[in-house]
Amino acid sequence: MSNAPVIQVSNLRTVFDTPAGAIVSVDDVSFSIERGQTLGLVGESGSGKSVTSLSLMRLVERGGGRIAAGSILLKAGEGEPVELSTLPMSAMRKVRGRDIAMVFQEPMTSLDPVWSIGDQIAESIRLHQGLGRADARRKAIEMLRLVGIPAPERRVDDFPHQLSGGMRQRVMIAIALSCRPSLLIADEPTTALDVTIQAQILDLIRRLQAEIGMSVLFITHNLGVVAETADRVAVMYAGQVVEEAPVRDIFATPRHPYTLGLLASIPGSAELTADHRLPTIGGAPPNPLARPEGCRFAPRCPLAVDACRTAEPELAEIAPGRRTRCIRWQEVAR
Amino acid sequence: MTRFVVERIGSAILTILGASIIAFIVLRALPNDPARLIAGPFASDDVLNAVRAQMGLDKPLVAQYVDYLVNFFTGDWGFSYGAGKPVLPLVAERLPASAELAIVAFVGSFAAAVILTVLVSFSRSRLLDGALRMLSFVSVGVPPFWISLLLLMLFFEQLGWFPGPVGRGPAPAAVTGLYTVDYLLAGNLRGAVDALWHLALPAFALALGSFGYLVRLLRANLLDVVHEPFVTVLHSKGVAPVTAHFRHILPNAFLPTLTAGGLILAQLIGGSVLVEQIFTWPGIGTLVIDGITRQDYAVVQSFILLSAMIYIVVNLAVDLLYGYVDPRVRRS
Repeated sequence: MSNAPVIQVSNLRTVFDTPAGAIVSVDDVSFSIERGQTLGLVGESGSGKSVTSLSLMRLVERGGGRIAAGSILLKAGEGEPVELSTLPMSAMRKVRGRDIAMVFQEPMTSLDPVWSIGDQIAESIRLHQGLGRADARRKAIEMLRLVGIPAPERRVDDFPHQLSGGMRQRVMIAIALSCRPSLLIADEPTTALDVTIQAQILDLIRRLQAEIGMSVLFITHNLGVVAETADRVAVMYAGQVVEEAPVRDIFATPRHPYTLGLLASIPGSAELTADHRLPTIGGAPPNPLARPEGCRFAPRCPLAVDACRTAEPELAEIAPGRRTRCIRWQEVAR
Repeated sequence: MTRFVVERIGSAILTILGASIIAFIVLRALPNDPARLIAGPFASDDVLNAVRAQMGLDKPLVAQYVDYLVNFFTGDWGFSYGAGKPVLPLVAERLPASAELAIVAFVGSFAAAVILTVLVSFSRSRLLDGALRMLSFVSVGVPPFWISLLLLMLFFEQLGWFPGPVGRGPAPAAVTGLYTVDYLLAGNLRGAVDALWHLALPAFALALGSFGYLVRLLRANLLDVVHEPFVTVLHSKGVAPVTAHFRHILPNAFLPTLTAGGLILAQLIGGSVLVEQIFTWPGIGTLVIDGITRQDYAVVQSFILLSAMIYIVVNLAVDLLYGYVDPRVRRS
């Protein structure tokens, strides 16, 4: 088994052309995920995490976006790496669902309401594995059993409205994993679920990841979830990765003021402010049409100096496997 | 599912009863004395009383209503003094012409609306979409009587491509009363084409509004469904756009259109009064206009109840069909 990363994203730049101007949603994003590993992609709403994942799937083009620069190299199985950013759409459709699969945030609206869940799982199987109707149905039942749906032989003909949110998310996972993808993109898969169900779904993803040996890109704004699931973490802010490190290091010794701010605002671990409130990061993320010169976090950063406001910092390697986009990272301390 | 069917049929029966009460009250509320209309302006009180007794008008209102209802459902729809015949055979004779016109108009508008809208939405072309929207606005906005006259002027008077306002063509041997079908049953293809030729202009005039309405409805529904998250999921599975559009998006968007289709069909059968009048189409529309102008109330009353019943029955059929095609209704 080769050690090449399953996915290697380099300097990805995704742009939405709007009448008000080009919005650069993802700017110079680079990361890679080794086989069997999980990368947690963290950031607040609008930081570009979802656009990053949609770019990997080339689904961003359906929403009016385009990949303006960078490379997305996929190495599925034992084959040669494939450059996804310029792949013709017909070839990209074969990659989707087979090599990269995706689980979305909203299980309540992610399934076609007039198709049975079995047919929706079988659709992927028939599409990518060329199985006949009966075989695909058998495989769909098998997948339902795998994701822990009781009495799968009976539930296979159920329709989405007959299932709870947690059950529907299990069905979504069954669809995503039905073709044993090399990479699973989980875009906030537990955000819409009850806390107890969240834990079950996270367990399920972890268990199946070990079973299938796939890599996972786990997108979330919840640092607690990241601590539980990820091997490495990339923190996004205003369309850029601002820090990337092994999960333990991110929590122990954050090296970017934004990461520090995020950690400080986790309930439970955080020190309360003088008036017994959770600390917050002052200010708001910059308008993507009018981002500041220099470091994008500088206007909200307690450590910002003049140098931060003139030149945009690079995502620099500060230790093996650790990168940060901050010129004052040595001063960042918990 | 059985419970769903029983509930729907039960509510349909209740609605028909409601419509019958309205039809009954409308007749009773009219200022004219039916006995006076029948017996004439110079009849003596004795004669009028005799006529009233014969018609049951001397009974209490509730008893009259029950009589009326029983008579209606046992096939006695009253006597048309204008036509000098009982109402039921008169309506039975006219109904197929209206039904044929309505069915052709409905099938045409429904098929054209669905095909055009689905293809335009699949093409994702702003230009075609704009053109279709314009077309639908115009179709909805144009009054049927006006487009009828326009069609006649252009295609009958100027170009001579279609027959004029002469109603239906020569009658075939009656089986169903629908000329096109009867000609086909008799193996007479030319006759069937001729029957369709006579139908073309009035059906077009009648269909235009429904076409525009259906286009607007289906287009809006398609736009809604296209932006549903499950469509993104389909693409993430590697499903081809054509499969996503025709096998997933369309069935979802089609459901509300089905309901509207039922309403439109029922409306077309009973509501083609003006178009029938212009094309001298021998349907129930012209019968009702005659009935109103001659104060032939048995005809009008029967028409009200009959069109209400058609409306309710067609909608019942759509509801049941809905239960069949929509799993959310079927299983609940």
